[in-house]
Amino acid sequence: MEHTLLWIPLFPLMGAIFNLLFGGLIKRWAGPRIGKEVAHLVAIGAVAFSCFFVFSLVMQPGHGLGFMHLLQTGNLREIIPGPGRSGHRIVDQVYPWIVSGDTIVYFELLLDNLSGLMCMIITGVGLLIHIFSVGYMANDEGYHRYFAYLNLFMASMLILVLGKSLVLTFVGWEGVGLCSYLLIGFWFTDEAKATAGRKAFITNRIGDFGVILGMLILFSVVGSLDYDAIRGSCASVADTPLLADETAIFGVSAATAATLCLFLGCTGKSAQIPLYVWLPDAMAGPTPVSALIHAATMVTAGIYLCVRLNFLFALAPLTMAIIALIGGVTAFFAATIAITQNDIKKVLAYSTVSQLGYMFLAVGMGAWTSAMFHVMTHAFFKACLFLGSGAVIEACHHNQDIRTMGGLRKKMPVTRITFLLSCLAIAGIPPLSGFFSKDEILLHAYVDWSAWSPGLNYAGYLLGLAAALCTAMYMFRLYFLAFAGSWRGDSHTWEHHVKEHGIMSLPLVILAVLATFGGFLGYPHALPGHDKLPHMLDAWLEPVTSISRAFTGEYQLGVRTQLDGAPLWFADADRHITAAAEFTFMGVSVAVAFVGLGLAYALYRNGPSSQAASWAKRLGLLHALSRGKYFVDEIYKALILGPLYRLSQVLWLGVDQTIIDDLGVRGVAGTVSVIGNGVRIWHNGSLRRYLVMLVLGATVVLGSVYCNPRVSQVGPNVLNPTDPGGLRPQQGGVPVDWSRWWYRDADPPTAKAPARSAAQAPRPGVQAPPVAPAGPAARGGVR
Amino acid sequence: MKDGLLTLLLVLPIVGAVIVSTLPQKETNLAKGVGLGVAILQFFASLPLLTRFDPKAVGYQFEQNVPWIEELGIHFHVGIDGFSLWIILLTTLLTPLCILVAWTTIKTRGAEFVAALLVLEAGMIGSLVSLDLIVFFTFWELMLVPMLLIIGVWGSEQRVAASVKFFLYTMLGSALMLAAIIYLAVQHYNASDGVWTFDLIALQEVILTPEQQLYCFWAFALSFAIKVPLFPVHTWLPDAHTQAPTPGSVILAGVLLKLGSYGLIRFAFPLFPLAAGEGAQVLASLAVAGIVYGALVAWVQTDAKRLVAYSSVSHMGFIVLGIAGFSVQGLTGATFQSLGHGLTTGALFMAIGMLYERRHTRLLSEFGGLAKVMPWFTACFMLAMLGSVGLPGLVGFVGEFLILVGTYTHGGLMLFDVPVLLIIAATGVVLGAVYLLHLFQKMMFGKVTHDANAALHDLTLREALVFVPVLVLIVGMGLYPKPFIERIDPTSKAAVQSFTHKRCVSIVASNVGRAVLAADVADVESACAEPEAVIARTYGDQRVTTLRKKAREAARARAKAAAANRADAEAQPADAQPAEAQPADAQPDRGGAK
Amino acid sequence: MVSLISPLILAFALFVIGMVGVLVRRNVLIMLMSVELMLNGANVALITFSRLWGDLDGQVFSMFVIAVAAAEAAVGLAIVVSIFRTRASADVDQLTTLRD
Repeated sequence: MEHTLLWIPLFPLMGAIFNLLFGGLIKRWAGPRIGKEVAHLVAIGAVAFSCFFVFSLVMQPGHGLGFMHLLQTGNLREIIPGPGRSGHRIVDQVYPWIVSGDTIVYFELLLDNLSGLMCMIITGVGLLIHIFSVGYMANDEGYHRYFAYLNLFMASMLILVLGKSLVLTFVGWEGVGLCSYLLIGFWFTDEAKATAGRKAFITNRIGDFGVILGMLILFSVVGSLDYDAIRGSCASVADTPLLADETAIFGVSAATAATLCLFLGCTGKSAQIPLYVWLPDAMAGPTPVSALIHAATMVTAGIYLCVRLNFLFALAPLTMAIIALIGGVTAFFAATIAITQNDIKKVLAYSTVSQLGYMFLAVGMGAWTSAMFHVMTHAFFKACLFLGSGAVIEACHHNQDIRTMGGLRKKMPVTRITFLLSCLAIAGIPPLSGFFSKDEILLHAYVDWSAWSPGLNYAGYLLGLAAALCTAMYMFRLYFLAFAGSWRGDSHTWEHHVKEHGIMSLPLVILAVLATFGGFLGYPHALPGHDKLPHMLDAWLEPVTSISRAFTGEYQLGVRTQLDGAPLWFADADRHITAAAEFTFMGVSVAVAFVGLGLAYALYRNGPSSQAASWAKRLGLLHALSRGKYFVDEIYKALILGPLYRLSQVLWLGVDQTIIDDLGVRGVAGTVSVIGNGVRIWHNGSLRRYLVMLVLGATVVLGSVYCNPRVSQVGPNVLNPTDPGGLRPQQGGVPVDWSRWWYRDADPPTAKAPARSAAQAPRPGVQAPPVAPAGPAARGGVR
Repeated sequence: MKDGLLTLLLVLPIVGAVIVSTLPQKETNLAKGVGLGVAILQFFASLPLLTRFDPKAVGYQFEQNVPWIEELGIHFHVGIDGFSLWIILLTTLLTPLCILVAWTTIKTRGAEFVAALLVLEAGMIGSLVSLDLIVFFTFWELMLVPMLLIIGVWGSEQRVAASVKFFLYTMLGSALMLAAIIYLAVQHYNASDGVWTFDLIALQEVILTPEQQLYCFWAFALSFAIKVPLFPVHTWLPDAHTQAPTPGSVILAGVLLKLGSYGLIRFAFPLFPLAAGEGAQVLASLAVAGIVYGALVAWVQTDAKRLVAYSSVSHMGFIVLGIAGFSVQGLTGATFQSLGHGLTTGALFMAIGMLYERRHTRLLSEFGGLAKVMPWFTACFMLAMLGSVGLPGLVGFVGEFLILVGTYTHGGLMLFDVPVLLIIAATGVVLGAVYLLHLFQKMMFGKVTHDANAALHDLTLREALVFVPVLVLIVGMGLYPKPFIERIDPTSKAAVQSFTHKRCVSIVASNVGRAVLAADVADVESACAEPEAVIARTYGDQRVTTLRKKAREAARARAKAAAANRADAEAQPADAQPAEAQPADAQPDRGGAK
Repeated sequence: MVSLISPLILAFALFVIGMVGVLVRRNVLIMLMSVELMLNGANVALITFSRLWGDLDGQVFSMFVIAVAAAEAAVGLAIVVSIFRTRASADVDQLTTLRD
């Protein structure tokens, strides 16, 4: 099959192009109703096609990626070819894209276990959200435009994960950024929403700046940006010493420098400190967009990139430590903000930032599989939460303030149950999906240790636990405020608007099911029945992550497990984590989750309570900081944006207009014109004065020629006073006798010719007279 | 090889201009129609350049060499290679589009305008194809006149000031360049025992002394830097762009600026490689400064055209950076980016011109909410803008990527501290998004605040016709740049190779003390078998800052030791002191005495 | 006795008289005549030197000068007439249009 993989992003792309070019025309010709039908049928059809393609490729028995084999045997080992276990993979080289000099970038797609997993999440969740959008956007003017952007996003995201080289991933990376920009600012007539879109794009661009630098560093060291080539270089670090040489670039190894730069990109795309600020604002977009782009798929691109390049990150201990730290801090930091927000989508946005922090904590600990596990479960429950919130917002007539909701459980049972299940999942209550993935991350945070700073993992673990507490609390605060208690809004809305849409419920249900049971794909070793239900994700991703585990201790590695060291309380003699230890970790995190849940129940079970208000008052400054989102936006504006803008003003008005133009260019021109004005006095139009000047000028010129011995043979020699000068044409050195010359025919001057004297010899440096010596002497016989 | 195609491309627009200007004064549309016909004919006439161009061949193609002023060895020598091929095609593509744009924008003296545009086209193509410096200079100056007229006659309110500024700026550079051309020819005359030539290929064989190269290089480089325009000499551009009529701006941004970068690649660097190698750092620093500076200044503009003009300063900085690194990818990228910038910025200027035609203002504050009123226009504008931002998959990215990669990996022979330069350059990626999205949002998003905007009509068929080819190229070149790159790349490879070799020869010949022909330098073959090594030895490995510093310190220490030894040698006959303690003591004294 | 210096003195005198006439007089017509005088001074000098060198070039050249002077007189008089017609004056001090 030629170009199998190309179809996966191509279908949505064609859908997008169709809707962009013809959507408006169809709407005009066939009426709005048919126009909408066509628009969403094309869009959903396109996504359904690529979804079908992905699933069939992944699950095809025999070839494919061996998903069925995994389901049957619990591992992939038997079907993976080769000793290096590079995995079963499908590569589709479409065409050479940029080929110049020694830079060769192919447009090449790769479907392996990692991108297969991501593709399934993207197309699966994407399809559900497309369907949800049909209901949510039903009354929107830009219906076809919306679906076109959504399809474009799907195409970009699929290119991002399918790209076989960093450059191609970057194409998708920027493409999703563009779609995010377009969709956040979808209702562009509202200036604030357009600004939110711009903020997202520019913040992401700051991250992309890092990605570009990372690509440059990698290219200069590896000589290619193909993932396989980078993998090869990392596998044999000895051949590419710069990768691990601690002095390669600005005092760090190339791997560290490149990964730090790439991680800057990840903080942009995946909304981590310091570049997370765009994500809460991005909630200005339509809610399904928030679900798809800003929760389930695009924001996980950063984690995908790290896991894709796990072999490279594993070589960079400093980067890993920074990632873990930033991930942990972000998880906690964003969770504390989420507790006090009143906008339903803002809560979910900060929750997303926090959960992404978890994933980066896992990445920083080298727990690649756990990170991907959480990406997956998060996609399920967060998409469900966002879609649920979308249903709520739609029902509440586009009011997003949870203080004016309440009691929605009575009128929206499906939404309520799916929302509750997702809340339980994200809070980490067993046996829902979030419990498994979060627990795994916390376990790794405790057990693995950073090579760069050994104590760091405990900090990460504690931050993660604290974030888990906050997560349970803010999620259930949200749930209780929205669904429990009684309606606090106006009665008109309650009577006429609050209801459920059929088409919007279907995706909710499917996602809730996935959020509930998705965790069993990563069933922990310690729990009973593990032999029947293995940790499938671990096996699935093993071909991708095996290489970074196979690195030996010869180089400074990012992460090693403490299991390698002395026996510890949580490990048995075989260096495996004991079941008891695993149960302990689970117990701790479940207990923490229940504490958070209990707090929320105590304070908000019947809507905002006086206790909650008094707690807020008691916490004072902390509460204010959290409510104000730690004023990060304001700080950025005051410290970076404002000064930069003023600097630009100074550059324009000061440097460009004043220094270069006024002083430089106009200065020169001005000088010339001042001189011109001065000289203008002479140019007064009086002919006679011109003539006087002419005569004077001619006199000066001729006089100077006459007096210059280098030019003239006739004038006085001003340089040599002893030279008498005068008009003395020297014919062969003989001076003319002026008095007799007129009568030369009668009286030839032959006898008078004196011998040539030394004094009359030509002066050195003076040219011989230009007169031909043969002239009069020969003809007239003067002498 | 005798091939008249290039000559045809030069003659055709001139003939067209003559025909157009002899048409009756009142028949403006007839004149524009004839002009458009000639321009389209010209475009189709230029297509054989593409079809018959041999991508793998090294050297000039479609060459024609006819004696012009034999006494001085001036030949009408024309030919193209990968560097000029695509810019010529861009010229022949943009000119008919410009006449289409001018259809309604130019209301007075339409015939003269079209004639000026055609003469300008001839001048640009002439500059791109000439391989004789005098012929090049003739066309280079020929371009000035129609451009001056286009700005000065058909421009906005401040047109005269802007055109004079443009003219004076450019003349300053040209004057120096002419002096350098003549100087170079004289040096060839001396070195070759009395052969006059202005032929580029012949003059490339002259190896000037380092000092001569320095002056000549900067004379050339200044002329081209003004044209590009590079950072401190850029201020003519915003004025010229703001005042020029739309077609003028399109041609100015689309092709005219590229002649600056083209000149650097074709003349300034290969003719004076030693000085270029040392001056590249200055050029690159200015380019990088220009990237940031242009972007920041663009951000605070209130006039849409001015904003795009400053964005040109920023984008052209990338191109100069690619040239200064003088790597294969850098040169290919710079040429590719020239095309990309020509298309995207050209499209942006066209779009702003269309708005100006409707509203007679270019102030950002006068617009807003146009996306609702003119959706197709907005879509076209957005695509052009994204291409300019450098979104992967569109034309801007490919060029920027190649420039950055090439400069990072191979720029070490030309530049110091490449990573630092590139970090600053890459901020242009962020800032580019800042100002262009600012522009886009101010014009397109928000509510329609001015009543005059509510009734604007969307693209007309003519305007759509103008946009389509440009936008197709913006997307197509981004997705499938191979046909473009594969015709540029061999030329870049050859250029880098001959440049490096000649740079090495210049180093070897630098002790001769006068200009010589490359063939007369002793032991060239053996001395420059590995030119990169010779260059790296001479200048130290510049790739890494620390290494560079170490090399510099080592060189300084060596110089000190040598000076001390000489001092010893002088001192020893005078007094018979043992020399051990001498160097350490002698050194400070000498410094103090000075 | 006529020495070489005598015709040169004549030439000089003619030239200076003409020059002073051009510089001092205001009437264009007289200035034109003075220019003729200067030209004739030059002619005398040319012929003198032609005799000095025994070379006919100077004499030939003086013929040229005479021809040019005739042409110049014709053109100059035409201009003067034209100026007089438009301005009703032949005073050079009033012909200051070039100033601006």
